[in-house]
Amino acid sequence: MRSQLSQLAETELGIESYNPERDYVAFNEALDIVRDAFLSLHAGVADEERWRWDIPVITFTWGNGVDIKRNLNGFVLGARHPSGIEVESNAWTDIREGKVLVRYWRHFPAGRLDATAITEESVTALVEKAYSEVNSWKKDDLEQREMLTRHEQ
Amino acid sequence: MAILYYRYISDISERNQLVTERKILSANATTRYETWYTPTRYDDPSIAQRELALPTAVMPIYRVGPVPENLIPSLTVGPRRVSPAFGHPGGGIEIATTDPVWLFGLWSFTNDAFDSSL
Repeated sequence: MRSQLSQLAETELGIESYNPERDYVAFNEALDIVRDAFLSLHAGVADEERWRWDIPVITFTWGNGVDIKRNLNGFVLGARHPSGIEVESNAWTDIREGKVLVRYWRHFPAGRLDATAITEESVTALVEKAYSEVNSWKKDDLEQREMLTRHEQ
Repeated sequence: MAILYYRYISDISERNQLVTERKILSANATTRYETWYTPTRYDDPSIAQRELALPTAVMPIYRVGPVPENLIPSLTVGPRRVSPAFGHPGGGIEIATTDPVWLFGLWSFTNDAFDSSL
């Protein structure tokens, strides 16, 4: 039985992410499709991570630590069940400028697929788009700038 | 000085778990309940979303904390700086743990449950 709080969340607060019974297996299967697509393209070493902050996302991060770092994210949409996939990629480098740590970065939204359009081929095409774009960038292409000073460790 | 951590919650079912069980823990068994925190206290959820690089659809609706670092004895991730994602620059600090954090609660013998008014 749904609690009063659950109903409040959906009806009055408009919280779309209300999700008492998320199908984690189905979300992981969708993330696996992105994983297979990425690994078919990337021959080098990459860190792989899932569910950062409980988000149904798979992230691959690569870079040699000297030059810029890059990542590719496959985000599975939906509350209880997967309803689509978004793929995007980013590149960045953090540079100390005097006493300030500055992030130079760039973002590329490759696109979104609805659930009915999710196939290995369509996901691979989207991942390839995000991957080739982020791999083409050099340090000078990182056109956005963010000061990170307040998070000095 | 001890570090204090905060967790930002965007899923109402986790809020319900916290209130009824007095426990901070992800509901995702497939990650062994890996639960994420940051040492930064954000008063504006949109800044938390930006610095933690959360998707637009995932806006924090609750903050829980502060949690002293000694209540989180083992880390599975971090501390590390958040990478850019979902159009956000990131730059915040994050950690993760599979340890549950237990909160004080007022147990009602009458209702056989925690008093959720506290």
